[in-house]
Parts: sequence; structure tokens; C-alpha cells
Amino acid sequence: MSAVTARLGLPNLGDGVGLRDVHFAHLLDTRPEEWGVDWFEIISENFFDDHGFAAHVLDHVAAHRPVVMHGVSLSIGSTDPLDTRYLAQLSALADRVRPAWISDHLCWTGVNGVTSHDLLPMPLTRRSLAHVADRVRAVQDHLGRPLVLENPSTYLEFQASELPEWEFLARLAQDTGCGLLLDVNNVFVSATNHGFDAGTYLRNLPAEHIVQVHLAGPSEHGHYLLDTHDRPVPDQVWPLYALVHERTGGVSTLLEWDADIPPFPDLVAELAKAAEVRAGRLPAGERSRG
Amino acid sequence: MADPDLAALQEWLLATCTSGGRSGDRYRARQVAEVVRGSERLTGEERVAIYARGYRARLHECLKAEFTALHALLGDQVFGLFADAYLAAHPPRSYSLFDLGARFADFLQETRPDPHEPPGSPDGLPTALARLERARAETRRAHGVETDPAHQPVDPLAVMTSPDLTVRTPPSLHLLHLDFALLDALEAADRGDRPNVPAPGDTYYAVARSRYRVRVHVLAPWQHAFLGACAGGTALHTAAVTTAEVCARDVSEVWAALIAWLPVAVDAGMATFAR
Repeated sequence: MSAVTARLGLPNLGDGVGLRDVHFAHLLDTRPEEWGVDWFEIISENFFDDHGFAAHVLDHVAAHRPVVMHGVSLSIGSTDPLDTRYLAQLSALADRVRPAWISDHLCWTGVNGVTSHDLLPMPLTRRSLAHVADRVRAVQDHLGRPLVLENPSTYLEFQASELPEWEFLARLAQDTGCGLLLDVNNVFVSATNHGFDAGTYLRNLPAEHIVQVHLAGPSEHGHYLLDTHDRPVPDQVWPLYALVHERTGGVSTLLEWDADIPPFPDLVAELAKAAEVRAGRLPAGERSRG
Repeated sequence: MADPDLAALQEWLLATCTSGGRSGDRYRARQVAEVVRGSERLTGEERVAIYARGYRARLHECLKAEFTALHALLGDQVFGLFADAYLAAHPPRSYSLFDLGARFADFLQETRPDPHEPPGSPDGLPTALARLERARAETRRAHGVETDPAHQPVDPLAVMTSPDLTVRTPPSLHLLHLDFALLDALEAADRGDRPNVPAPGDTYYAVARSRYRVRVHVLAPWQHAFLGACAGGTALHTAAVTTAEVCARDVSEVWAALIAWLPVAVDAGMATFAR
């Protein structure tokens, strides 16, 4: 039996959305009690060295709601040395925002100093697991808190891989004490693209390490799904979310929407489906399928 | 010490993505198959190509978002050629996408067909527009007057009676001297319209922010010289004297103009007084 506390002892913040600039005016013009969301997630790098309107809005939002910092450039799996300048900026932003936690992705973004600005997949080998675990421990020592890592959407698998992604993540979490940001949409996307069973993936993660859930809508591109965050959560994702809720007993839920972003009230309406699912009411499309 | 196998694999995938991930080369296809699993759904090459397309699309979108007017003026195809050449010459090295466009204007200048053409010649237009749009992007994020406790409105009387007051420009101010009249093109692109080709014309600009709104101002040469003289913080009368010298104007004439204009410039976030 694991001695780890549920969610690593971190709070269940409720239901949140990503803070995006198209909603800045709405958030300034609307009273916080009417926002309709419990918390916000920011893309950390977007706020590094920003002293303009975005920083002003972030200060306003952080004064009224919990904020989580979610990064895309930590490059925890890269073979380049950890970027100390990046870590310093991450810490500086954390000192200002006081986030509930700091997350990034199980991926690498570049090597030899060149970055792709993409979340590139890891070969899931025992050696790369040891490599990532060492770096997670170093980052946690730097930040003085557990790092929370998200499963990315992937479009390729390496011949060299020895472990399924869920086992890689489970071992990583258990070895380092890091948290998991479980992107249920990404599990659905990767399961579709690689032909594995999403339920098996979800049932084999250590539930007590799951700190947060992401929901989003991918797009279909013929033979594969692309993680575009540009539409509502697909019906197939909601039963997976229900399974995660059952396994975790409830964790912070975040709806991501990054392209063709709807007005804030529409975003809140989509987010409200999560509460419906937790109450046992799946969206109509999924009910009729069942 | 990094895992050498992992390092080699990462170098290979990054190089494949940044070079376009094109298929068709039989040797390359075999190489991909040795590294990446294929399936009935997608071959290994098709899977690598998803990442390669994503790399290009993401960086192009980022450049388009920053250089909106240049994109609107050139059209998607020509802008895309410029962007591809820029990314090949300067692949991203910063963890911040904001840094991606930092050298775009310099790159356009360095790759002009004939950089010795006289000012205002058409091939200098992309460089000029890119410089102005980059300045706008930097002004948006820089420290501005909004959080400066010393920044307060100033009235003409205060300008007249306080020659020893220190005046300075905020980090959010960018001053440019360009060979084209670009304001109409910027405004058209901001409205979502395709701009007309800007006319050549020696033009002085200030990109400034006030109340978190970024505006591009066309300045008279003496105004540009005055703000330049204030950059590090200087006494008002010293800046006025410098301006008069640079513009070959009488100091009293500059003072008279400052009394009317400086309150407007302070309100627009171009300058502030240290108290």
C-alpha cells in the first residue's frame, strides 16, 4: 500500500480554464464572483519578462483565484543540461504568482541549444527513465516543491521503447515523488494514434500522484488525431474522465482551449460538463452510443 | 552525463523535423523505419512528418502574429518564403517564443537583394515594416509608465517653470527613424485589411504605451531628437539645448514647442518626470 497522500497533499482547486488574452477584457470588465470558474492555469513562458497588459491581468486574476503555472519549455527529457536561466525565470514568476503548483510535460523540446517549441516524445526506455528521473529531482530541488508532469499527445513511438507510457509515468512518479497532470484528451489522442487501450492506461497510473486533469478537443486528420485544443471535448473523452474521477476521488480539472477560442461564457459552459459527468451524467452523444 | 543513445536520437529527430521531414528519399525512409515504429494506420515517415509540419506551422504562426502588417502586405506565400529562410538561418534557440522574431528585421536587411539601394527603395520596405512591428511587440511587454509611481500628468505651466526637472523615457518607448510612411499600413492590418504599399518617406516614429495601450506616433524630427536626448534621464533644459543643437534650431523655439507638446507626450507614455 502506498504511503503517498492523495494528490500529493495538494488541494482540489475545482474546475478551471486557461488564462488566454482574448478573455482579458472580459475578466477585467466582469466581477470575479461572476467569472464562473474556480481557478486559472497560465502558460508560464508567456509571462516571463512581461510587464505589460498581460502581467496586469494576471495580477488581477491571481488576486481573486488560485493560479497554476503550466510550462511548455522545461524540456525535462532533453540531453542538453537543464537551463538555469529558464529555471531562474520560473522561480521568479512563482515568487510573484504564488501558484498552487508548477507543471510541465514529459517530453523534450530541443537539443544542442536549438528548440522546436514542440513537445517531442521520449523513447520509453529504462535508461531514459533514469535520465528524466535525475532531472525531475534536480528541478524539484531547485523549486523546493514537487514538479507535476503531463502526459503529452504523441504521434510516434520509438522502436527502442521498452515500456508503455503509463508504466514509464508511474515509475517516474513513484521514483521521484513528482505529481502527474493527467491529460485525458491526450490519452485519447495517443491511444487512437498508437492503437492502445485508453482505459488500461488510466487504470495503471498511480491515482494518488494525479494532481490535475486536462480536458480539451482534438481534431481529426484522416488517420490520426491532432491535439489542437480548438473545439469542445469529444464525447469519447468524457467516460475516460469519469473513470479518472472514480479512481482519484476528484482532482482539479482544467479545460484547455487555445485556437478558435470561444467567448468566456461559452468556455464556462463547456467546462460545466465536467461537473455533470462527475455527477454521473454523460453528455447526450456518449449516452446514446452506450 | 547524458545518455549517448538518447542524445543521438534527439539530434536525429530534431534535425529531421527542422529540415522539413520530407519523404521520398529511400535511404531516409529506411532510417526512419529503424528508429520509429510504423503501423497500418501511419508509417514511421508519416508520423515524423506530423512533427515536422507542426514545427513549421507553429513558428510561422508566431511570426505572422507578430508581423501582421508585413504578412498582410506580402501575402502568405512570400511571407512564408521569408519565414522559412529566416528559420533556416536562425533556428529558435530561446525557450520563449517572444524571442523568435527578435532578429527578423536584421535578417531581412542582411538578405536584401541590394542593400546599397538608396533610402526608400522598395526592397527596403520589409525591413522597415518589420522593425516597426517588432518595436510594437517589445513595447507591449516592456516596463511602462503604468506602474511607475513617478509618472503623473504634467501641465504646460510646469514645463515652463521647471527647467531643472529630470525627464526620462520609459523602457517601453521605442524611437525609430525609417524610410517609409508606415502608419496607414499598420492601421489597415490591425483592421484585418490588406494594406496599400507604403510610400517612401523619411519618417520619425515613437512606439509608446499608456494605460496598457500601445500606439505608434509619427513625430517631428525635433520631437524625436528630444526624446532621444532624454533616454538616460536628463534635466529638461539640457535636453532642450541638445535638441536645438541637433536640429539646428533656436533653443527658445524648442522651449515654446515643448510647452505645448510635452504634456501630450507624457500622457502618451513617451516620457516621464523623475520627482
